[in-house]
Parts: sequence; C-alpha cells; structure tokens
Amino acid sequence: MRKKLLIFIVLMVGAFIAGIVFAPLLQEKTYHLKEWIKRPVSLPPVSKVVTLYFSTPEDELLVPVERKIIINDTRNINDQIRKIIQELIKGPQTSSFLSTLPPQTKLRAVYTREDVIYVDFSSSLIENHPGGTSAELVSIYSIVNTLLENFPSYSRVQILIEGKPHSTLAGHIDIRQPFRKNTKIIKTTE
Amino acid sequence: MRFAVGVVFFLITLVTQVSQAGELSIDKVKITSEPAHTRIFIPVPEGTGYVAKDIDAPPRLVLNLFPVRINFTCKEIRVEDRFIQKICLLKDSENVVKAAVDLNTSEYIFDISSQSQPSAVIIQIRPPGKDIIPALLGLESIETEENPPSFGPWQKIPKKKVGNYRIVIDPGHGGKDPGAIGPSGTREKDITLAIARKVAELLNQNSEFQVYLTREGDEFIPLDRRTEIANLLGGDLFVSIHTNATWSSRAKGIETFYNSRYPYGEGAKEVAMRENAVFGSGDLPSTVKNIIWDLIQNQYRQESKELARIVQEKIVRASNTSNRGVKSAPFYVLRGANMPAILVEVGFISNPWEERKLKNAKFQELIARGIYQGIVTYINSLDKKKTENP
Repeated sequence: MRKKLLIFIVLMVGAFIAGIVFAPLLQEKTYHLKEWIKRPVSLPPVSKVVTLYFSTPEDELLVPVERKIIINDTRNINDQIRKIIQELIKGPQTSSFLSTLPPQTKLRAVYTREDVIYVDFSSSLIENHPGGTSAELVSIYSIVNTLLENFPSYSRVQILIEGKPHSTLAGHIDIRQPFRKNTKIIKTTE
Repeated sequence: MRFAVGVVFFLITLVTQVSQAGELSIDKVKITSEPAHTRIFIPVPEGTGYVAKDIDAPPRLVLNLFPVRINFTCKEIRVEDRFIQKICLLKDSENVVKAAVDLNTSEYIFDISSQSQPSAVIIQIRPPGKDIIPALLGLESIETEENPPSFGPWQKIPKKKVGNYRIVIDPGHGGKDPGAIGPSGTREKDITLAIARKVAELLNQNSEFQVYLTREGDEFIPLDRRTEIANLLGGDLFVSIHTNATWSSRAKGIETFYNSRYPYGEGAKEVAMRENAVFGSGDLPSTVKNIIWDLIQNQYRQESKELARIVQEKIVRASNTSNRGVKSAPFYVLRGANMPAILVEVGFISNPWEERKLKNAKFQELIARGIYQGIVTYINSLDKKKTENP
C-alpha cells in the first residue's frame, strides 16, 4: 500500500516536472503554427531563365543572351526587374558581346504602373557613360528590350535618373518619355 | 532714326495665396516693353508644357499651360503696350491654365520659348519686318526711316524666293560638355566645331546662302537653345554635326539621323492620335510638350529624311568611309526644329583609327565638303521643284 502511494507520488512529481519542462515547448509550437498560418506561403527560391540584350562589337546591334537567375519571390515583379537590370549591368559573360551599361551603374528603384516599367538609376549611369549616339541607343534599348521581353504584360519602359525624368544620357537621344520595344536594333540571324 | 524710346517696364504681380504643393504656381507674370519687342515672362513650375494658338479676330494669342493649377478661376492684367491690351489667366480644366493675350494689332510675330532656373515660359511679340534677326535675338531693332518695317501677320511672311536660304549648322557639344572623348584624348566638341566651321566657309562662298553657327567657339549651349536659335533665325535647314562613340573600339563609319519619336518610324500614328488629347482633354500627361515638339519636326519628316539621304550619300562618297546608312531616332536636339533637320555622325571617335582621321584637317575638309555638297544638292532639288510648280 505504501509502495503504491510512493509510486503514485513519484508519478505525480514526474508529471509535474514534465509539465514544467515541456509546457513552453508546446506553447512555442502553437506560436509557430500561428505564425505559419498568418504568413503567406513562402516558396523556395527558384531559378529562372531570362533574356538579356547585349551589343555586338561591329554593328552596334543587340543580341539576346539567355541567363539563369535566382528569384526569391516569383510574385514580386519589381524584385525580378531589379535582378535582371543588375545582370545587365554585370555585362556579358563571353567576349563576343559587349556591355551596354557602364559597370558603375547603380539602380536606385523600380516601379510599375499601368503598362509602364519605371527604372530609376543614380546619376552614375550618366557620369560613366562613354557618350555618343550609338552608345546611348544601345544603353536605352538593351534596358527597354530586355525588360519588355521578360515582362510581356508591360509595353513601355521609362528611364529615370535620380528619381526624375531626364533629358538625355549624353546629349543625343531624348529619354524624357517611355520607350517601346525596338526590334530594328536587334540583330537578326540570317 | 533709331527707335529712341526708353525702356519701360511694367511689372505686374498677380496677388495670389501661397500655393500648396503642386498647386498654383503662376504667381508673377512680368511684362517688359522694349523697342524691339514686348516680352511676357510667365514663371511656371518645372516641367510645365504649353500649346500656343493665335486667333485672328479679335487678335489674340492663347497659351494652354499644363500641368499647372491656379486657385482662382480668372484674373486679368491690363497693360499699356503697343502690342498687348491685356492678359487673362483662367482655369481651363483641372490641370490646364489658359493664358489669353489680347492684342492691339494682328500685325505681329510671336515666339514662345521655355527656360529653366527659374522655370518660365517666355512669349516675345515683335513687329514683323525684313530685318527680324536682331529682334529675335533680343537685340535692339534697327529700324530706319529709309527702311521702314513692313508688316504682316507671321503666317503671311512672304515665302522666301528661290535661292535665298538660311542654313543653321550646329557643332555638337561645347564648353563644359566635351562630348565623347577618344582613346587618345580627342574631344568631340573640337572636331565638331572644326568641321562646322569648314562647312560654313564653303556655304558662305555662295551668296544664296546665309549661314549661321549655333556656337562660334568653345561654349556650352543647351540642346533646347540650339533648336530655339535655329527657329528664331527662321532657318531653312538645320544640320547638327557630331562624332559617334560606343564601348566597342571596332565600331566604325558614318551615319545620318533624322528625328522620330519611336525610332525607325514606329509610333507616328500614336503621336498623331495624342495630338487631339493635347487640345481637347484636361487630363494631360506632363510630357505632352515633347509630343508637340515632335509634331513640329514631324511636319518636316519627309524633307528631313530626304536631306539625310542626300547628305549621307555625299559624305560617304567624299570621305570614302564606311556607310552605316540613314536612321531615325528621337533626338533631343532635332525635336522642335521648325525646318528640315538632321544630325550627322561623322565617324567614331571611340575607334582609334577613326579618331586619328577625325583629328586630321584634310579628313575634316573631306567631311565638310560632303556635308556642303549634300546641302547644295538638296537645295537644288527644292529649287527645281519650285520652278516646276511655282
């Protein structure tokens, strides 16, 4: 009888201790569960093949180059645009094509509104630009064609400098208005 | 006798309330009467565009300014001036302010320009006359009793006779803007000026041509100002001279451009469609002004294209350089030129081989000769058309 009582007490104490030890864990679990329910389902990063336009060395035309990039959130268009522009700034990986933007170019922000993608660069794009009509055309249309190719639901791209529309990159092509895709500047394989 | 009237200033301030952000900004309109012209200075917020229209009866000049707001419906300024009776500012629609300038006479010429810092729209009204250039450039008019000014509304300026052409040559860049710089340090602004001077020299040998340079020396002229100068001079042709550049040191050759909003001819229809929006709708995009500028140059699209074709052909032949052809792109400096206008890229300063050639005075001479021949051939083709159908 005393032995039974002892076992009972030991069990009680054991349960008490177990309660103290595991209760917070249980609580934490519920907390995590709640958090998980509240948050939208976050998908794992995915890799996506995008098209980038670089230029040819002789005729200053644009050629499409495919590149795999990692996207953290497939639903965040602005983030994808930012990633693609950054790849464009990095330049081509082969020497058969040329960069279209100065490597020092800094992207400040990206906006989308209606059918227009706004890409806001810091003045680094202008300060480091080599100048010349050809270089300006190649810079502008590598941005415009790349973005409109990868995001076909948009139809125009507006380049901004320091948050505002700007006159020209280096004194030639007017960039105060959004541009449409230009297929004439793309090199066609014959 | 000189028009010896002292300069009279009328400073009229429209008393308005302190504007809220994005609201009323036309708070100080200044009217200056000078012997050569009367000037209306309308301070506007940065980025304000305008559309101007002149009405015959009663003589009135109407300016739609946008996007800009006023916090009253209508206010007028009465003026004692030989041209202007009064100026009314009225709210046209949400973002459009109408500035109506009532005039005493229908015999006037007007020019409208915009400037930044401070941002303003400037209307210049002056008597029509033979010697309009000094007045246009803001100099005192040279009116003599022997040579009284002849009057007529601006649209009715007699068409220039065959063989009297004003040619505006625009040497690219200048002053603080060196343009592109070649691998051995050649500056675009020096090459363009040297070639432009040679072109002017060749054209000046022919008495039918009046030749103007947008810059005579190493000075900075904003792009807007270059077209403005050409328009104020009443130019018949505008030729901008540039050297090309790009990342590649291998790119080479000569190309000639004419203006297009959407390069290579796209989008002309869209621009035309939007033209209606300019005059009708109150919901105007802030960049409407650019479209108007395009429309101005668009009138001369065929002529510009033809001029580009001829000039390109002649330069390539004269200089024996590789031909990159005639192209179109939206050029800031060509937009708004109220005449056929082209931009010639005479070679790649970023290509070491072409850079060396461009520095060479003999090569510059060849290029200049090509441009000159192109201009002359184009004008001869016009004269031929005129004599065929006068």
